Amino acid sequence: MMQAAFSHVRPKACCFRAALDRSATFCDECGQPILRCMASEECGGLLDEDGRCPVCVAPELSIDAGAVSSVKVGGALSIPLLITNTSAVGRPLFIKEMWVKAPDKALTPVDLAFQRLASGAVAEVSVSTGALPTAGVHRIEVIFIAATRYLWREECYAFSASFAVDVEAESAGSIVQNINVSADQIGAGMTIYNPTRMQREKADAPARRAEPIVLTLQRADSFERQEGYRGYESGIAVPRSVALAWAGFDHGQVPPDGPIRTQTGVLSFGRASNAAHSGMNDVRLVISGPDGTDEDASVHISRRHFLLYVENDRLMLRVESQNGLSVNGDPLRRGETAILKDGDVIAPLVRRPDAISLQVSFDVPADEVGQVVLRRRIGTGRR
Amino acid sequence: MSSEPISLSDPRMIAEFLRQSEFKSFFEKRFAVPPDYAALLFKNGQLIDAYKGGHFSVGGLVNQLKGLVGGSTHVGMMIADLKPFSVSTPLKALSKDKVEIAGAATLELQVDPEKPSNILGMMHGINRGPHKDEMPGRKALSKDDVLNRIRPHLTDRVFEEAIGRVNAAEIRGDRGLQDKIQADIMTEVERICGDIGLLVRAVSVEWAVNSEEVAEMQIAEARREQDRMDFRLEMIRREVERESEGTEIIIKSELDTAKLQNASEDELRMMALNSEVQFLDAREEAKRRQELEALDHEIRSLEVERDAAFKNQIATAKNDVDLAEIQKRRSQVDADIAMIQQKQADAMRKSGAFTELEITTAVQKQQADHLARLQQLDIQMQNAEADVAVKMAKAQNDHEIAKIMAEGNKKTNEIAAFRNMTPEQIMAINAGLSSDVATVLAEQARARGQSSAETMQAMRDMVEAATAAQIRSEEQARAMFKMGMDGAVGVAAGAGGGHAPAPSSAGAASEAPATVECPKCETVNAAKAKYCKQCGHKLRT
Repeated sequence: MMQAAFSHVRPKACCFRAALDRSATFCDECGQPILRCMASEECGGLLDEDGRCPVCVAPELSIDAGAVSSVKVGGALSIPLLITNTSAVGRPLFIKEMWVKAPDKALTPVDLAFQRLASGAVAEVSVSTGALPTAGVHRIEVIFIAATRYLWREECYAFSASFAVDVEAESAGSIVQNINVSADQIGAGMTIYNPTRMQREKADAPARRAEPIVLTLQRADSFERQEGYRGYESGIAVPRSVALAWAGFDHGQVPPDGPIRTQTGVLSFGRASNAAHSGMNDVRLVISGPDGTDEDASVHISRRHFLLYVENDRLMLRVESQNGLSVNGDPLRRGETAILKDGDVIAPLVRRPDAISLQVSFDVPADEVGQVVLRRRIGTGRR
Repeated sequence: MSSEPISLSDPRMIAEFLRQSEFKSFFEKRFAVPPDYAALLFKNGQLIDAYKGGHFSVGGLVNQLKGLVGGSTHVGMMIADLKPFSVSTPLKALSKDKVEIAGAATLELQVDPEKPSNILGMMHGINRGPHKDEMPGRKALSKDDVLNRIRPHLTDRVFEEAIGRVNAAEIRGDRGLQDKIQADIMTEVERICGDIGLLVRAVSVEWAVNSEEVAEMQIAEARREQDRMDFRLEMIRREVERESEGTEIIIKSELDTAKLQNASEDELRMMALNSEVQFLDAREEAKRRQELEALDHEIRSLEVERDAAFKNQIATAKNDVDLAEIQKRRSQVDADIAMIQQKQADAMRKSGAFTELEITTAVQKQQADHLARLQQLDIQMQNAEADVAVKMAKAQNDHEIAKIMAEGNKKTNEIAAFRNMTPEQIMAINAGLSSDVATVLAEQARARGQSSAETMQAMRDMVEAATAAQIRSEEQARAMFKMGMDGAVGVAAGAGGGHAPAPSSAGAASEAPATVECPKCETVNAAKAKYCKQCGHKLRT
């Protein structure tokens, strides 16, 4: 039962070496993009293949010592669990929800009295199996959502673990027995009714765990998508390494095609000049045509208008402009975020949505988006 | 119909067969065995089953008739108490330091409730009472029977062995020892009667006071007594001190008591007045005396201090001038001290608190002390002078020796240096040139000459020239040969006689570049990079 708490594919050592150069966006050894954790300023971690930062998100689930693991048919077990945040860099972990699932039963939510788990902290949770009506060995599954937060961003991950409980059948010894013995020496028949069989009682002592058992945690990726914690309702996901392709922009206004290369994983869009011209933005957003930039029209675009990033396997947008913007005609105010889907149209200018817009389109080879194309359209509203 | 509870006939019992007579009656009877008792049911002498508690319905005419139909069967029942019970046994053993340890071990025992039928095993061999007639049909097991059965196994195997490991003084409060005894007893009982259903729940040992502890207690008591005595002594001493301060005056008045008896009233009055004056005078005098004594003490300590300072200075004085200086200062201080002493003597005289004899003695003592110290200082001074002389002589000797050694070392070094030199170099050095110049000459000679004979000849020529030109350093030597050097070296290199210097302009062209520029995004990458760190473009195949 004792196994490593995690089975995951860690980033390669060469990538960690390359990531020491903060300006590097690709590993100079293996050529893979360096996908830094959103909190890499604090943790210095790289995302593994599942899109999880193993430094920030390192929960450990164990069954506490002394837990009872067997029960009679019809009985219920209450299992004490320990959740530990084993993050070595002091990053807190947030346990958002937890469920327990017994065979042939629906998920049952577990009441959590806490959410924030500081680095190294251990929280105790008790999960109840409910009545177990059939005998045999049953697997009880525990699923929980662990989140890591950085600034306004939050990445949620579902983990599942399971353990076996032994449900014993009612033994024959517990059937009421009446013994009739005749004895004329005593001059009496002797009836003994409802005796308690002592030899049975030895087995009645429930099995107990002598020491905590660390459970193997499995990323519950399908659960994450089904329950809407990660990815889209349609079942697709935008991985952090998704390639962005730019269309309809002027030369020098956008970064090269490919994955988001900024250290925080956030691309900023706005009127101010972009990084290529030592500016504050990654993508310069102006209303321009073949005859140059329309400065008058562009002035309504904020210097930093919105941010684009991948969070929880979704392409996200966060409004930075005082004037807000609209996505598919729905206005959004500053600080609000929206999930961008295939076909969404971002209109930075709410009053003149046609003047400039960005169309989002997903290229989905399987259930993961391989490429996101962002196409700038300069509309008829242009003066 | 209510059930009649069955229990053991005596609290000292733990198991007992029920008498059949109790079951016999015309009407049906009901019995209840409580749940903390085991009931063992026998049929025709064979154990049928064991129950923890139960209700029994016995007797009655109907059942009797049933019995007639079913045939004759003998039914018996035994009950056993399943509750833990406590037995105590004395123990005696020798500790590690061979002190007899006595105590009482209390064992919490229990009939194994999981194997109640095994109680029968314990019944085996139990004496069921001396007079069978008194207990017809009864067979019982008492708590003492159980203890007697296990006790012989505990004395040497457990108590002697465990107690023999510790000293008598350390036994009390040693929980580790208690735990060990408990564990050993449990193992032992498991070994002896685990199969026959006896469990040891807990064991504790109470220790009697052993002789070692008695001795310690006595020592502690004696120490406390000593402390009490010391305290009292100190109190008395202080009391005496306080009293002695006032005694002087008391004695004075006591001396007068003889006179008092024969004195008239006027005389008495006079005496009273006098004694009062005397009393006051005495107090005054005592006070002055104390003050002067304190002053005397100060003078002494001053003297001792100065003395020590001088001693120190003499010891560290480096030369005669220092010593003379110290001598001078000392005589000054001597004069000062003599003056202070004179003043002190005058003050003592003036105070009237001291007798002339006391003063003379004090002055003499002071002078004697002072003289003694002066003499000591003189001796030290002389010693110091002698020391300085010796030191100087030694320094001179050392200097001489060092000179000789340096000379010797020089020779040795030369010899050692020659060992690694070529004959040409030695020749040059012997010719009076420095070893650096010699090295240059030697390499020049080798460069020019082809055979060793030619080399030697060339060397000779050069040494001659160098000596004549008074060449002193390596630079000069090189400068001297600079004109024809390149040619000579070239020839020598061709002949395999030396190393050609590297061409001075060859540096930059042959060095590998440290960075490489990405052809796609123009980022500068480390030369070893396989991919561009900015765009991931493949830099090398």
